[in-house]
Amino acid sequence: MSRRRAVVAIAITVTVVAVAAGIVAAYPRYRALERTVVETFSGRPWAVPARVYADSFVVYPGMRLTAPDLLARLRRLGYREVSAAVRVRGDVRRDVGDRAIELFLRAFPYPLHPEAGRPIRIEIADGAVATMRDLAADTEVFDLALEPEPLAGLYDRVWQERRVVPLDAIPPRLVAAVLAIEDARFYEHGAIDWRGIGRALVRNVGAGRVVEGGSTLTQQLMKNFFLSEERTLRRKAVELVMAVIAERRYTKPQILQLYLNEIYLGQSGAKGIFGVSEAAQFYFGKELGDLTTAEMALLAGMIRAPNGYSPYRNLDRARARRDLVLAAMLEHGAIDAAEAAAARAEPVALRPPAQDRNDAPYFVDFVRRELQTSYAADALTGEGLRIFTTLDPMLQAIAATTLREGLAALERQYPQLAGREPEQQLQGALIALHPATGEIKAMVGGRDYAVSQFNRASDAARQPGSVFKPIVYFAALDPAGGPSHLLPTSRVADAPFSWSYDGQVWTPENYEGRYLGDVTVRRALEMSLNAATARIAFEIGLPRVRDTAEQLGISGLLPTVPSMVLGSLEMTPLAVAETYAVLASQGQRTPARAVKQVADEHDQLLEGRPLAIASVVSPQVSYLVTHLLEGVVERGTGRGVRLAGFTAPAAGKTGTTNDYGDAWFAGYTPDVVAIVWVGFDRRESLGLSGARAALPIWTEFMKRATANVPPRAFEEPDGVTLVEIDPASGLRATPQCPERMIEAFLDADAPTMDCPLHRHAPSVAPPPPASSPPSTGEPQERKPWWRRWF
Amino acid sequence: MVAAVVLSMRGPFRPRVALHAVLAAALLASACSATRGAHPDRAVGTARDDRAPEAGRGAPPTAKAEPPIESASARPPEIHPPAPPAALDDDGPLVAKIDRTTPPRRAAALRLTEQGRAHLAAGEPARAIEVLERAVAIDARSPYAYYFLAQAHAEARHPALARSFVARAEQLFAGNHYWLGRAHALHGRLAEDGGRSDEARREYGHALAAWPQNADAATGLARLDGSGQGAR
Repeated sequence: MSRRRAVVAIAITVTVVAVAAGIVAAYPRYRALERTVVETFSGRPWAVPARVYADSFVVYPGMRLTAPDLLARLRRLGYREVSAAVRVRGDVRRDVGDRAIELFLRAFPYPLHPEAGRPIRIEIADGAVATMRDLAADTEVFDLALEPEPLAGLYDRVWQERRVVPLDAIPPRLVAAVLAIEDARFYEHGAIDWRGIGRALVRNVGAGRVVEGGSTLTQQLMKNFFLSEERTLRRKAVELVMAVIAERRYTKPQILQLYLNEIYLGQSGAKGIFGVSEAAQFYFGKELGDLTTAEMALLAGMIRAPNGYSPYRNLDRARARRDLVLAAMLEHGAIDAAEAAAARAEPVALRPPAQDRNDAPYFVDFVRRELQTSYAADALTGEGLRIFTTLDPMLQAIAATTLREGLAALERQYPQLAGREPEQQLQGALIALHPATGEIKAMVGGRDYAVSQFNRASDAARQPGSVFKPIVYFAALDPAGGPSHLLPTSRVADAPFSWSYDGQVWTPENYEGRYLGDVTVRRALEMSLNAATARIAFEIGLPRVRDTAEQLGISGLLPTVPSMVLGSLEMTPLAVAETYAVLASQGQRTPARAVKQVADEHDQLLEGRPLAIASVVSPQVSYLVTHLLEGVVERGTGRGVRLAGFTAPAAGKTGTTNDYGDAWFAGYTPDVVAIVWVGFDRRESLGLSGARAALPIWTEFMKRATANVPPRAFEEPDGVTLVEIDPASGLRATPQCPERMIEAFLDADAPTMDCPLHRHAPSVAPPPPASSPPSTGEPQERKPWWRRWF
Repeated sequence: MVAAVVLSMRGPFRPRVALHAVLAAALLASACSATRGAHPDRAVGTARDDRAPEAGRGAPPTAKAEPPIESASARPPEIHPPAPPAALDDDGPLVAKIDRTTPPRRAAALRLTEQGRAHLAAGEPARAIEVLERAVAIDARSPYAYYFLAQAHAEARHPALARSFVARAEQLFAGNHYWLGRAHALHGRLAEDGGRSDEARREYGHALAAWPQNADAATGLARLDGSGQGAR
């Protein structure tokens, strides 16, 4: 053997041994990569955040609704306004003069009744819905639910918005567009396209820069899933190996499906847009099946540089890239020349840019916390749950704006409240419920979520002050509470009063030390008289007040001290709202509800959280208290509501704590219960009453929230009689009575006797009008009318 | 009655005594009526009213009309107030109740309730609940929505919710004898299914008092009395 042959033999041997050793050494690493690929793709490839939806907006004939209001809601949902007839789901067209709106309702996978989408014409006349018609079926529609607005995603660290769809739900032409521009030989190569790499190399060398990549879809998929963006040989080698593994273990359609759901296609604030389905919604407000060829080409073109080719950022660049894709599609036979020309001529019709805002961050936190008791954190942030809530996004937006503006106005008006560090600034909370269903329609837990995430609406337990008083009056008016009960016309002394208990003495004082003497129960509540209220509570006893509070749903350990009756216990705005909702719904307690349904990522219902009601107190007495609270708004401490221009029937109560640390206004109409709290987190004194600090915010919210809602009176239940009385005597008013008012009584309590005070009108001094404080010169003790007869 | 009191007085006519007698009689009559009475102006710490609480609260509505036409299958128990007049039942489509005077909310709620009823008939209680809750949200005083919600929850095996909704329906159906009867009959059935025979008997009784032809209540009572084996 010559020396030369020996060297060759040794070299071959060494090479073989080295290769063998390399293979042996690399095999565990290969197996590890294989495990990684298989475990990821065979399990749940993506952590899909739960999606939180607002409530559906339901439209029905006769409903007060203007075209601009409806269009505002549709714009929030991303409907595209078109001038021709609506053709595609998500189109909306306003008819001449806003007399009608045509919309192509979007498909929505409601868990129990998937909506396929249909064209609807809504005729609007005199500010109300006149008729609705399904244009496809040519039938009248009597109720129409717009799809719910997405509020937010519940994500762990990175918010990836993605709608996972199977390959057969993706239009073949979109697949062709992606393949034409990204990997035309996808079905021909085995993970690595050597020809493509060579072509890219030649072009890049020729251009002197990187103008074309040689990565196949499979390689891109591996890089997106498992690898970083670093440009190193080692990273590229791992990518190639993983791509080979993927092609060995999975079919081409499987890889394609993964790819089309995985690709990053843009950014909206903190939210990344992933997958073609999400991108179709984000850019065009369309289902995949509704995309045009041009739109498909535009999406496919964005894969390379989603933000660079975003039509929102640079329309010309996006259009040029789209045309490049169309040319590639034409080259590969995916479309013909006529189709390509038509697509090139098509203007880019984008969905109005989605507002990258979460109007309800406190509410979303509240929902997340509520669900955490039933779902693991991983499930909430990674399994694509769909959570249907009760929120009305329009009311929520009004609530957030009103609170923010109201607090700023207070700071302008009272400079001592302003100029603090953000963490110590004036705070507030606003919550609105639908009383009959307990559905939370709006929840604002603070002034600025970015500064403080503490949800004051649900978690800040503060003294309610006089907001608690209606409970005392409920107990006093309720015949079920004991052997005696009061009437709204019963009289009580509003004078300095001391209550001895457990060796202590409690002496409640009136606001500004003013006492009104002998007043009716109604007047005592309307003017929020502390001494009179305490005297009533003393007469009926603390246990009766406590029992009533518990019946109305105030839970927890209620203090056993008399000051409880003036609100010395602590309640959150949410708890106050639930309590007032019982009054508004005539004795029905409906626990506040944020979540209606939870569905899994396949749209199967996991859980329904149904409406629950319980008849907890008398409907009749609830109505009596509501009637008294209407008086608070008409002529009592809450009259600022009327002065500020809110004219709809409403009941409400102001609340202020002793040191002016908390300012409240709690009020309701038959349809909305709203509670506003204003104060400092550190419980510093505001120096303002509820009427000054909270009432203006409540009023502004209600004015805006009910702007287009026909006012509705509180309906008295059976068992209640409305009687026109003379407020001075509490008896039926006669034509001679100079002052009259409608008072509500339980049927059994309604006065049947005429007022005797003004039968000889000239000789009887006129009683004080109901709208002014009673004269302190009134007799302190008035005989009942029947005693005066004898 | 007042005349009888005055006429029964002996001795010379004394206007003041007569006036007292008349007033006393009037007050007595008023108290006996249990529906309406004259009430003094009461003051805390000065005058008290020791009368019993409102008699009608929580009880079935008092019938205000003619005697009932008795059902051949069952008679209402004597403990119940007189039943309402015979009338055609009211089991047609709820949308038939909609006319030009019906407020839009009520009309929308009735239509949704009819939809919910159809879902119930199709064996879809979950969907029925969804639709009926929407009806309640639009018109919270629609007794029909509560009634069918109760039925839907009964089908969905949520007996506690069913009971609470049927109780609300009973409140709101006051005066609507046919539906009040149906609500009490459903209440009775829920109680019977829950093993509360006394409550069931009472509710069936209320149902027949409200609507003597209510076959469900009659059958239920017969079943409870042991004479209706196999009726279920």
